[in-house]
Amino acid sequence: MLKVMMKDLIMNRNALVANLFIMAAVLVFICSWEEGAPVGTYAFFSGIMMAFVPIMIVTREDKFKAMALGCSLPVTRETIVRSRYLLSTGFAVMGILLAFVLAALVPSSRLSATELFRPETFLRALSVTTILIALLLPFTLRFGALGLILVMAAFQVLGIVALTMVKLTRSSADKAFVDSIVQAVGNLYTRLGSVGFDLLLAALLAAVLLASYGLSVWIFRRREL
Amino acid sequence: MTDQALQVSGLRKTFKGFTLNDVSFSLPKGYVMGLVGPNGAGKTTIIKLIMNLIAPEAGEIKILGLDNRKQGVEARARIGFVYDVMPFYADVSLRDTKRAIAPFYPKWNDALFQELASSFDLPLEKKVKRLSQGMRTKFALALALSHDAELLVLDEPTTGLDPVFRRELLHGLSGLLQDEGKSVLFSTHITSDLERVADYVTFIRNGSILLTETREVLREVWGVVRGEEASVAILDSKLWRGFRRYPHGMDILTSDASAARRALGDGVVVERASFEDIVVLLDGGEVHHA
Amino acid sequence: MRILISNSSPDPIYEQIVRQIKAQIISGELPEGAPLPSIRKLAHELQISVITTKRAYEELDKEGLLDMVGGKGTFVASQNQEFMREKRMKLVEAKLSEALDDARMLGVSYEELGEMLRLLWENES
Repeated sequence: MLKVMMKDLIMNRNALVANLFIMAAVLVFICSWEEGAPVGTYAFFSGIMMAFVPIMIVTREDKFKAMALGCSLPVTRETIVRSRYLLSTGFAVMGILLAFVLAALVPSSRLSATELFRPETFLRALSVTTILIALLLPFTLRFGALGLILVMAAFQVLGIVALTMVKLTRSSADKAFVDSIVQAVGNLYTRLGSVGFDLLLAALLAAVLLASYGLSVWIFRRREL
Repeated sequence: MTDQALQVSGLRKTFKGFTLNDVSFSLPKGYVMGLVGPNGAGKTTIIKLIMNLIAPEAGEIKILGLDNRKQGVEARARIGFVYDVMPFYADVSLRDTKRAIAPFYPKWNDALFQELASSFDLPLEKKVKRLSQGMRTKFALALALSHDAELLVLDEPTTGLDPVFRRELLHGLSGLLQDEGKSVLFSTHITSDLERVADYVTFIRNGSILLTETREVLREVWGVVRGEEASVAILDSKLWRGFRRYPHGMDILTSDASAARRALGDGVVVERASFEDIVVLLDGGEVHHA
Repeated sequence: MRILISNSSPDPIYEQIVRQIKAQIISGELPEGAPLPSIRKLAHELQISVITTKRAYEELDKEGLLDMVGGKGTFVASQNQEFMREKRMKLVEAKLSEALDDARMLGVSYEELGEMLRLLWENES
């Protein structure tokens, strides 16, 4: 599995470095925002950005049809999947930490280190990345770069459905129901801070990731190249 | 211990518009087999099945005695592969590509790789995209040969190469196989490739194996009967393996040239069958009588 | 060891090889114990199938002209001296027969023939 991770690192080295610089630039920009972007938003954006690493790896793999190379090597499909998950989450964790360090050290930053280096900020970012990874990986392992488009399309569809539902809820009872759901989800994030909840969230994220992993293994074992 | 490098039995795989049907053949250790057929015949599909890139609906594949699906990792550690279009990252250097791939093979021999790289004149610092098709094939071959692979699987290795290069490559390949332990399966649609290096030849068309035979037998025992239809068509149908009608007469592919010669006498020409003759005339044993 | 394969000859390739090696052994070009190239090396050099070279060597092994020593290679077998002499004699005899046939056709007499032989022998000594 380490061999597969090394292979992916070597093959994508330049792209990764380039990505790193771009991400750093964007992050510096965000944390230096005049309006003083709240820490939460910064965390949110960092989370999203870290999901770009697996996206980049997958797009390059697709472009060069390199999956055929990986699968021709003496390595099981499961190992390939495992290394992809590890690489993605590894980059996510490291990337988010680095993003926070960046925001804390960069002189133009308007975010305070004390606010940044709290478990809940970290979890906020990580939860975004984890959910994205959990969604993206199975799709891309099955469809390659096309999987990305499918996921984005799915999000669009969900968004449209949500908007439509909101528009359609005329009766106050329905409206109240939808409102309460939105409230509850919003509230979830405010619950961050209590150790109990933090641990629960972490466990939940791990579970989601594991489920996604299981699905990916099942999918990739059957993938025809 | 098996003495077969590759055993393919009863493979079946259906795609839209094409079916690979009941494909079976074996390659004994230490020999070279050419898998020949027109484009779209199923050669690449067979190779993908061997490498477990796709799964068969029926049938099994044994590589050096190992099941290619259940013992895939062990099997692939002993296979060196070269594909028609090698799935390398074009913007990565040869050296880095090698660095990424080598650790997967327990028997990787870097000294040997360096030797091959220098005798092939490979510019290791350059990126893959800077290399011509021929050089890429040589690079892939160098990688495939550097981990003591017992089976080499080459999918159309000569495609896109000029005739001189092609000859060099095949002759070079033959030279590298002085070791009895190595076996080679290579697919091609260019029949002259077989003349240089194959010990066994398997003909495939439309997803079915038409024939597996040694180059020796095909050369010495088989033949082509050429003459006017009336003179040649009287040949015993048991000896027909294919035919073609032309304005000037008829060619019949026969699996026993001397018997044909005896039966038909001097009015017809009975010659050695070139691989091209075989590919053109072979029709899977269907016999048509005038 | 020089082997020339003719693609246009009606003889099977392995037969051509067998014949040429045999001739070289009999003529002494390939002395007893001389090593032969491996079947694979020969196949590679002649650009033919190793199955063919293997067949040729095995045939010669069967006839007692070669020794295929597993692991070490293939060597010219030590020949029964009588046997070799006999073979060489047969060769000479065959050539002489040919000459005789030609002579008869041309109307050369036995005495003229004898004289020719004596002159040739003396010239070459």
